Amino acid sequence: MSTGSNRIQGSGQDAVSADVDALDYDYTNFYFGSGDDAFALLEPFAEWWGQVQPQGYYQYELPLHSAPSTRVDVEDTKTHEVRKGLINFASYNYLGLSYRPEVKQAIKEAVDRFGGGSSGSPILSGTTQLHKQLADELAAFKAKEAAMIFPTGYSANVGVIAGLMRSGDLIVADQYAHASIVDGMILSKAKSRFFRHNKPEDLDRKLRGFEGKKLVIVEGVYSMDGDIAPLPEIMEVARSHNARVLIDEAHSTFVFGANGRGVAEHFGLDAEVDIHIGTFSKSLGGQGGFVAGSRALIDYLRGFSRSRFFSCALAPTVVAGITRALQLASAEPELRTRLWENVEIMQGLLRDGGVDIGDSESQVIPIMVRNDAKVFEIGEELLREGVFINPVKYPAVGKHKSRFRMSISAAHSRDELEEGARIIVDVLKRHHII
Amino acid sequence: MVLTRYGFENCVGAFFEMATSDARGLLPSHLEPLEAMHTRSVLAVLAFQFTESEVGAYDELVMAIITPPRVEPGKPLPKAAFYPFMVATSTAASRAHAIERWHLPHYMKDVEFDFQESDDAMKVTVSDAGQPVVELTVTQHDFNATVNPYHCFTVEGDERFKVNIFMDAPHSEHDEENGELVLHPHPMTEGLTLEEVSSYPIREEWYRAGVQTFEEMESI
Repeated sequence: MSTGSNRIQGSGQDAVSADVDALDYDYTNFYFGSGDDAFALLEPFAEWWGQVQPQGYYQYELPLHSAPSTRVDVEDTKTHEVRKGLINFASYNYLGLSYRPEVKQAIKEAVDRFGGGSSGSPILSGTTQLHKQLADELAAFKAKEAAMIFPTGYSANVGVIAGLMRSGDLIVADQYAHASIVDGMILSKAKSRFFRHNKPEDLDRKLRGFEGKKLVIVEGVYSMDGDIAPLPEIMEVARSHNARVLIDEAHSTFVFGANGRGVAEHFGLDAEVDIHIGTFSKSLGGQGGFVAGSRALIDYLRGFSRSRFFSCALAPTVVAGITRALQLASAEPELRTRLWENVEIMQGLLRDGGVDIGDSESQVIPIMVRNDAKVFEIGEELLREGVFINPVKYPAVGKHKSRFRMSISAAHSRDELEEGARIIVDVLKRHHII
Repeated sequence: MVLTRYGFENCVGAFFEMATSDARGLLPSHLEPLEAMHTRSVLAVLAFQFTESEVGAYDELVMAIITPPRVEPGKPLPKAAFYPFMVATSTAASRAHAIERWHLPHYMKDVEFDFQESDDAMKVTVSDAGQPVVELTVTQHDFNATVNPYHCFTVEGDERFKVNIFMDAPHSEHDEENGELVLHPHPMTEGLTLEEVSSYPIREEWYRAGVQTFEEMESI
């Protein structure tokens, strides 16, 4: 099973020689340890890291030397070589807006007027007229009474959930909910339950018998599998238990729905869902998060979302870029049309090549490898062959569910899609994955 | 170092989410449950068909809480760590042996085991006086020869122990959520809020014919 170079070396007198592969271990093995020193785990971790880092863990945090466009220059931290012109399937830039000339121009103008940072909390000195304009335009886009901006998508979920729910309440979230949702649940001190992924009947079981305030949380598009929430059935169950519903549309805003408002709009349930969360870092190519809903909800959260008012407000330059990107996304619905055409092309190319892409229904396409031992090796080869794409393995996904997570952009050309698919299919064949 | 070896025909097991509040209730105060996610700890259910041991052949069910291992500099990393809170066996001799040597808590009656293997699954039914208590189904994946180390924690009064266990056998594991667990109200399942235990596994494991080796128990 293991090669000699992979083995964990123990210096203790071991009565039984364990056949231990360093790549079988992960961060979860270093969560607790013996001893009273807070640094007790650093040495075992360093020993493990020294073995796995050269074997593939280096494939995370590769520095980009260019904008996150469809072709990128990426530094290979193993060889320190900058690989130029890789086809980029790793960035969230779904509509290709982050580097549009109009966006860059808006940012430049904001720099001249407001300088670098906002220099204050949003409730003190950090809110500029640009922030207010973005919140207003966002509320109009989402067809909601009000919206509020957060410094990150993570802080939006944490701030909204912990700002609204209290000890003694009940929160039930999909088991694949993002870490920011889970952390919001923890901070809220509410009773937390998780229902089986996309199974409304299990949600029903988890809500049954609880008396008190209840919040159900789902995502529009799930980021590891690209599948979407069965929102009509979720809403029906939630309403039957008198539960409020929060949807995190981080990956689905500006992608799904006739107006790009998200999966809730896609299902005609835009007005039914109580709380809409989103990010600016995906389709709009910026940074930050938001919540949209009723005026009463936003006014209440303004006073209770600690992750927002104890953080510095987004830099005015970022806000200016996001606002311009929002205007472009609203004015150019053809961007969404092109994105969906590209999704269809890529799904067809991969399926025709025999690639397992799971149950993806979106621009997030999992390329299933199902070989935990090989995924980094294949990722390294894809980099060399000209494709930049993120490997994902346990514990981010289950054992034997390792994959590459592909993000499609409206900006990808047909040639880039065909060349990228050809490289991926060839490399997977070479490794006998397909 | 004195080693204790147990030969087995099959060891099938699976991990299921359970309420962390239950896990804390079952664990001694010096151990923490390892959470699969917020408020959800991990129940391990394992069934062994032992063919060779100091007390002959017998079948055994182990229900345990998964805990963090005791990671120490210079020592091999364990694959997992667990605290067995209930063991049930098919013979009195095996209970006496495990209680005396390993301080494992047992259900003190013989229970019946039914191992039913189909094409890619093993269903184990553990019954007491003809009434099913635990019904566990584990499915298989690719088998690879391995020797996996584990930490097992036990207590006796105020004394705390750890023993290193090694599983040397062809091993299959996966997270495909294909198996199943049905628990029935019974003294063996006391301490578990049954409706809070998930019916599908987050991990399934299968060791075919091999050897389980215990090192000497150490006080911690």
